[in-house]
Amino acid sequence: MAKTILIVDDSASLRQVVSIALKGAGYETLEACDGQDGLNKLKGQKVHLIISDVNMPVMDGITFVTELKKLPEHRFTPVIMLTTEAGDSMKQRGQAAGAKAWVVKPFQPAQMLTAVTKLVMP
Amino acid sequence: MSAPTTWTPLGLGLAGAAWSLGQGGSTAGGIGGALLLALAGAAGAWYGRQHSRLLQERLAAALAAGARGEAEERQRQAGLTAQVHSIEGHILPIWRKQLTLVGEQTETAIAALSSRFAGIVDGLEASARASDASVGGNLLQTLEHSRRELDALLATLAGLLANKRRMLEEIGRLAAFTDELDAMAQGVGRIAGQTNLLALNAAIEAARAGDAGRGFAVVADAVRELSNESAGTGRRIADKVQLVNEAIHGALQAADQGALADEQALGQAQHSVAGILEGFQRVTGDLADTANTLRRQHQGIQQEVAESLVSLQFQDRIGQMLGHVRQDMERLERHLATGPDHLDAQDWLDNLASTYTTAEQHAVHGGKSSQAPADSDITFF
Repeated sequence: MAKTILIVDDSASLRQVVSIALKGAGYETLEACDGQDGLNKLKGQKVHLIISDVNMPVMDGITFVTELKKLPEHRFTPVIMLTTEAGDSMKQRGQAAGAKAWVVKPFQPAQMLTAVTKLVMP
Repeated sequence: MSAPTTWTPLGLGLAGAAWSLGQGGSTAGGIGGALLLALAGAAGAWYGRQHSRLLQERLAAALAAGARGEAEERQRQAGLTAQVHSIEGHILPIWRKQLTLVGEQTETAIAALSSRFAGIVDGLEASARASDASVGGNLLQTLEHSRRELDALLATLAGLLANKRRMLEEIGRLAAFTDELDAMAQGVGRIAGQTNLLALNAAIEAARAGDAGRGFAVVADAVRELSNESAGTGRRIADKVQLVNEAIHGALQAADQGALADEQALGQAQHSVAGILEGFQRVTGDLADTANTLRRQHQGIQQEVAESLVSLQFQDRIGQMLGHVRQDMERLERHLATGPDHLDAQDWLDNLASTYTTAEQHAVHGGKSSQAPADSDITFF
């Protein structure tokens, strides 16, 4: 059975690009346009990994990860932050919130798949 | 200039004339000097008066000009304020809306492009899987399975021919038995002949014995009849054995001819099957080559797709950069709406720089030429 990955990004084109890369490797994908939408999509939904942007309207990525870790059914779901932010202070904030990896855009599909393969839940 | 100052030269001239008269008396020199001093004083007074009037006129003109300048400055300030309000109230919102429109339309277009691109990639993947399954997978398996089935069929035919060959060998041995039966029939005939000869001798001896041998003569006749019947039976047996023998040899001859035809048919079948399989092998080889070519092309397309996915991410970066400019324009609008007070350009730019997320934004802000996006970077925590 294919594993499911949630993509959280306010850019529809970026969600499409990530989805193409993941589906090509056999994953199924869900999409959300911001952190709050991501939390809504996760209700009653089993996902094996989450890829989230940082700078988003309504709810940013760091807050999203922080709120995600409060949910018992998703607290161990690994999160990869995918963002243009490359500063160390932002990375530290992501790590403190509970993210497992930080990928700077633009990403290479092969590199992204390496990170996904390494972190995706069995 | 005030009146006392204007008349001071005249006073000094008159005072000088009086002093000159006092010093020179009524001499011509004293009177001339006094007159000169008085004239000089009068000229000075006239010049002072003229100069004072000129200064007053200039002062008045200057005051009038100052008043006009102040009004003009107030008017200019009012004009600037109106312009600032016009920029803040009309131009900046339009610029911001235009930027928003550009961002939205670009995002929509790139999202549609990405969606179509996803459809193309899905189609290519499906074609590659179908090609791989039919050419490299199922067809080759089917051909291999067919080859095994044909080999098994040929083996069965060969087995049937071997059984037939063994059966003919058994019939051949049966023919040898018929020869023995023929010899035995010939033996029966010889025994019958000797018995007949013996019965004939017995009849001769019985006739020689006279009445005493009459009964024996009857027996001798009976034995002769029996020997004649035995001889007839032996001949019939020999005839039947001959018939059976001829039938067996005929059957063996026909079987030998059939076996030769069977061997030729089997050889022809093996040759045909080998030819068909060889043809299939060539076809499958070609198909396998085609499959390998398709697989290599598929790998090339996958590489192109990966590169395209990187390029398609430009919209996300452009959207963020436009967003930062838009936010800064909103900030400028808010600032101007509160009144055109002092604006520290350096503070403003520092604030703008703090919103940047990409290295190239910082580079451009710092006066460097624009850079291509840096390669992706992954950090595991």
